[in-house]
Amino acid sequence: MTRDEIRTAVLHALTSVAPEIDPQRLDPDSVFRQAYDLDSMDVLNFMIALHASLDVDVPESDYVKLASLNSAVDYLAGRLTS
Amino acid sequence: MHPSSLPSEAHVWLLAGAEDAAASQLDGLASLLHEEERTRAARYLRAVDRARSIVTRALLRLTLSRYAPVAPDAWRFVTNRYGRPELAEVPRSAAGLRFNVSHTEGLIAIAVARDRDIGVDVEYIERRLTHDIAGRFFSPAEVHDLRQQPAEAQPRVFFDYWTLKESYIKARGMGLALPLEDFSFHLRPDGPPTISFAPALDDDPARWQFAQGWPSEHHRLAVAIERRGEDLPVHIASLPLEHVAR
Repeated sequence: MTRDEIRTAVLHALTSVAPEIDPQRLDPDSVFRQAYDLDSMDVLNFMIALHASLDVDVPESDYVKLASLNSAVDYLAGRLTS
Repeated sequence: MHPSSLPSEAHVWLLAGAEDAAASQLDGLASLLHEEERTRAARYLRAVDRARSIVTRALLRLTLSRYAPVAPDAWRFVTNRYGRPELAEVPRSAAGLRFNVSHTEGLIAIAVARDRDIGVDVEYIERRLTHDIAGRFFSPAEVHDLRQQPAEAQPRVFFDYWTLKESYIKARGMGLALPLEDFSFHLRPDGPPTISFAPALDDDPARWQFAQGWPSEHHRLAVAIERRGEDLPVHIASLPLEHVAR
């Protein structure tokens, strides 16, 4: 899976749980939990949606590594190729 | 709810219907915000989310200014390492002032206390539940209790547990870095809920006081307050939008 495909999957998971996010205006380095006031349920739904589309189970201790779009793509690319 | 009573009380301010604010009201409230807060609000796709963001931040500033002689637009915030907003520069008159903010469709809540951690969560209980959050993330005891409820009661009980769990992790200031399955709430018909911890989570149940409320028939509220001696009375007040945004 390419980084572009991972990026698309992350954006899809994110906007599926938080439709208020405009992907066109998303700063790829902003911490989206803070930038969009996402609550914990949004974050957990995001993790479940990622698991459904990429089959990656993210442990809670790694949630912080998926804080922004770019960091999430980095983390998932590492997990998917390892 | 008088500001001077704060050391011996916890206060929760509620505001319903921020999404209905008129453009002129939003302009007035936005003038209280820091540039970064206005930029953040502008990023939202939907007008209702922009409105809720502006009203939430303005309400937080106006609320804090009830408790210290600081102008609403003068408060500065930082986030702790887990993302919880906190006061950046605390004037002597506001020493020990602690707050926590929650918002959901149709409701904003701001909890305030002095010299102790506080967390608040409000949820719109008609919120669409897309995934099995409880089955994946709640403690075994909570899942067991939830599944035992009649089907029609399960969504409400889910939000009992959810709001309490969220209020606790917010009071701790650590968010989801605290695994939700490592602590359990115990709902009691005759008193406030209590908490227990798995060995992996180093905390003491006696250190926490919890309170719940129904701000409307569609909204569940939970508050977690660090206990230092006697339980604090929790006072909840609803503010009309017109009172905040003129």
